[in-house]
Amino acid sequence: MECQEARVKMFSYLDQELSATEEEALFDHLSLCHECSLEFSTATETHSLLKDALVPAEPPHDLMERIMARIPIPCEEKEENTAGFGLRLKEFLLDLGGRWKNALGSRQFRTAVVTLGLFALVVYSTDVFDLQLTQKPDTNVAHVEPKDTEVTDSEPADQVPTQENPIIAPQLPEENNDPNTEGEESPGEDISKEQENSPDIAPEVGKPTKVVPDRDTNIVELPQAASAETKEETIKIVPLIENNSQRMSHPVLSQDGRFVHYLYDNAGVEEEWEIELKPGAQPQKAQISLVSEAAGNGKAQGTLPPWLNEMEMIKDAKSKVVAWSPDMKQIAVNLDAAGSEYDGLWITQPDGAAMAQATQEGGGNDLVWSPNRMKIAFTDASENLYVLYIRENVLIQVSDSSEGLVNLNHLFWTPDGQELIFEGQNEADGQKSIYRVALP
Amino acid sequence: MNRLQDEELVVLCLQGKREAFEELVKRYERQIYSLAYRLTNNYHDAVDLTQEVFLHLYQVLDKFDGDRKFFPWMYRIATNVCYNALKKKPKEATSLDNVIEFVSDQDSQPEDKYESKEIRETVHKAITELPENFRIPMVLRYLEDLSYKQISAAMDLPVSTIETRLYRGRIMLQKKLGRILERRAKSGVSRG
Repeated sequence: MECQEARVKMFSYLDQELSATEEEALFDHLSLCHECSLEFSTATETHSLLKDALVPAEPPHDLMERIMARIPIPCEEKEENTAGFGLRLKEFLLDLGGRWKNALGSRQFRTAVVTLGLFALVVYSTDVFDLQLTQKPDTNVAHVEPKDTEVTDSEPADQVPTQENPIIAPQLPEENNDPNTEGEESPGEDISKEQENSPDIAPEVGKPTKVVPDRDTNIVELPQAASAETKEETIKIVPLIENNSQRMSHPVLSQDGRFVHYLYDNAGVEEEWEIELKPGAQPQKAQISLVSEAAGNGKAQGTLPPWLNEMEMIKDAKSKVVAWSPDMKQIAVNLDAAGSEYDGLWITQPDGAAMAQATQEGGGNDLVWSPNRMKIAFTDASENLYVLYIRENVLIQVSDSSEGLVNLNHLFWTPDGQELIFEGQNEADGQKSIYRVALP
Repeated sequence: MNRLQDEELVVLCLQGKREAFEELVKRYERQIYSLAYRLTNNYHDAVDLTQEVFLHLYQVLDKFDGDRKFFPWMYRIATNVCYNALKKKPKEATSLDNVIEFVSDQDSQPEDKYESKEIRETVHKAITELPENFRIPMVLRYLEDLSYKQISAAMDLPVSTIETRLYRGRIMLQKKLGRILERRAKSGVSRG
């Protein structure tokens, strides 16, 4: 045994973590090495000092009352609150999964083989939600004034401290950034214009077909936009770096799109590392720093049209994330309207035409278009991750936060648009890591 | 209520029985408070942190897998909440050196004074100055007498990482507490 190993193992010995063989090897070394034997005395003192100091502490007598005072609502109310849309959606999705499984009747091979066309017949109307918004007649909708926004005020869920999502508006236009205008009436001219031109929200169009990959196989059937056929795909979230147990966070794509940079907790020291986006690539310490530079850039992609921020629906939202499509022809809004009907992902043209609710899922803090603007990745308020395939009009639930992956952050698509990379946190232990999921 | 297993209490709580959660708090408040107190060495922070732990626990109770034991799951969540809170908290400005000086000036005091409250306070302070990564395994190891394997489960890190962090943490403490250790060695206070 070398001295360094002996120094580690002497503490393990004091912690009673050594096997008989290891113990023997340690004492063999100590009997020969005077220095280590002195170290052993110090280690024993340290051990004893810590043992004496780290004893239980007596809590204040009213701690229990103080804890219970912070438990916001009785359990039964909590149940009722969550039994709203989110729970119904979850039940629905589970039910959907169940149907697949029943339809297949095999537990070993629970691949979803029902085509989405069939789903559309059974579950939804067969309307195809045409998100080629530019082709819609302008008369469809101008910008939207929701009729009813009281829901947000009376929603009891607001009082639950878990709903602390701040209003996130990373791309607020500079010229419309005056916080004083919030809540004030718009200038008269604007109001009359809105009244003239404010029809209802776009008539209900075909909602996308929701698909939850099979839990065991992660397989999903993807329809092909160009044909009536479906294609089987495996949607599986995997760690960006295999066999890593250290904390990893803040993934950033390098400018040339070849590398992912990230922060890596190297035994307590946070370092920037990089890995090339090619099979078999090994991570290495980054020579240049991209993560800290990227921190300030956020997702800003352009100025938002002022009308968007003036919409009641947007103003009243608990949170919103807005993103321009890469070709700057559309705007997506991920809206958390506190459980009201406006919750979800909205897509509009820059002039406010054809503003439509693409999905009722949504309301989370993430929203990112794929480079070819055919897919949108976004999260809902419960931190489930979805990807909307626009042309196919299919919504895939990529992750389910109840399975333990939460705090999704720093999402981006690989340059080929085939893969999504993001930071996530394992809820049970809080460990942050970076994940990738192929979404062809 | 007080005769029920933890796991049964969780079920009751999810059915809407507030008393069931109260019973869980009653069972574990001392343990969680001790953890929080030893990690922060501050009464107010420890109370806040304990409240936070139970609040979070309440919020995620429906994710508890009834087939498993409640305590390790709860402890893992507690560890995680504490870890996140410690990371957020700005480091204290006061330096440990002053405290050590204060203690080491007590040369004229009888030797047994070194078993005193001040020594323990110095050790507590030194522990709170460890980075969270090292502090948490240290507190879990001594306060809860957890094995490396149990700490590894609570922190979701490999056993070897726990062993290394405990080693490095103790080396850091040895440096900070050098004078006290010398004194103890001389006076033979250690009971091993």
